[in-house]
Amino acid sequence: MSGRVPTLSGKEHVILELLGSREMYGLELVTESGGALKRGTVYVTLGRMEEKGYVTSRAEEASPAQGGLPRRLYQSTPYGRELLAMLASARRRLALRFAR
Amino acid sequence: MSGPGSWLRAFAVLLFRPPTIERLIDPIISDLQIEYNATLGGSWRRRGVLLRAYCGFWKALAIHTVLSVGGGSAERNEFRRAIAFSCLACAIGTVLLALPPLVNGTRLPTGKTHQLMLALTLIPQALPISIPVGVCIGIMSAGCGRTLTRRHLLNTLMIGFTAACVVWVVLEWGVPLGNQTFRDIVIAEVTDGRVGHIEPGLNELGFSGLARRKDVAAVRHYHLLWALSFAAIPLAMFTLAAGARLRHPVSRGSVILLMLFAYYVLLWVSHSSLRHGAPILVIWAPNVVFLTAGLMLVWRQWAVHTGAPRIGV
Repeated sequence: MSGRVPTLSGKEHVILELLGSREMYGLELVTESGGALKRGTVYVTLGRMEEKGYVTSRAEEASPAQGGLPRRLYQSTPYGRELLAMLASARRRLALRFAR
Repeated sequence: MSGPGSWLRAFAVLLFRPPTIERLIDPIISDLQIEYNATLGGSWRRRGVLLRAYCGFWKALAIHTVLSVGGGSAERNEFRRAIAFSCLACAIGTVLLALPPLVNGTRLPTGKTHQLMLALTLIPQALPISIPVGVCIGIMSAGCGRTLTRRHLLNTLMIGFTAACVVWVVLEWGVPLGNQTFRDIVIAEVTDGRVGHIEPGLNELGFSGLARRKDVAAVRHYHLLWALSFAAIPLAMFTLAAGARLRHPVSRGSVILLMLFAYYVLLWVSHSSLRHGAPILVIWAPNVVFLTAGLMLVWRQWAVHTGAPRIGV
């Protein structure tokens, strides 16, 4: 384990907030983000988040009605949720301390 | 697999590793197919969905490739080192090539402003030579005695292609502008301002200017400029293959010198042979020879070290 402090980019923050504790697929995240996420970047960001351990993914069991490739569903990990909560808490404290 | 986007997936499978296909390509194609199938309405509406999805696919691919450029940490370090050494060698080469004419230029009775202008006009002339030379030195310095992978090949092609694009831009705009400015300054000084402008010759024309002319000399010069633009790619390929086999700095330096000497002599010979009736494509001979030799050497390296990984982006 390296001593590097984990960080969250703006897009990663949005994704973790949207995921909460449910499973979503990429296009769903794009739609629900209201323009904060783009379809060209969402899977690249999700891939990097998976490498960092913020989210996990699984292939959806394909329903015969849909046809084609199965969707990939993403879910935040406990580590990702904890990181989001800690950053949100730190932000609140900073806001209280430095609010004018 | 069939359906919309299947050809995109087939293309991606050729280039990317299975984890990339599974985590990046397949989810995008899956979204595309589901969205396409779920779209009700006319064919134009469905085409709109496809177009948006295709744009997203290429954007994702471009971002992923840029983020993972260089490959693994060792290959990435080599890639960065190759770029850094190439830039340094290019800068030194440009100064060395521009210096002698500049020293001669100071003998002209010009003012300091004009001497500065003359110095600036010499830089574009030096770049078409110094950039390929710098790329070769950079690639040779970055790695030696290593096992070549497809990532090395891809990185080298990227450096070579970028250098070729830069040289093309310099030959199209930089060299004609620099040469013409140089001539105008010198002619104005020599004639005490009586002649302020002279008509551009072949060396003062870029690709677009030469393409408009139909005389034989212009056609030859046009093809020479194209061959010069692409010089960085075959030279980089050859350097990659040769550099992987050599460990000693003296032997690497000697190979670079010999290679560059052979390339530019061959270019000069093929350009001269055009005057004696040789077909115009002869001007491409140095590029073809060095690219073929480089690819053959890379192929031999791969044959020795079988099981080279995929590109891996």
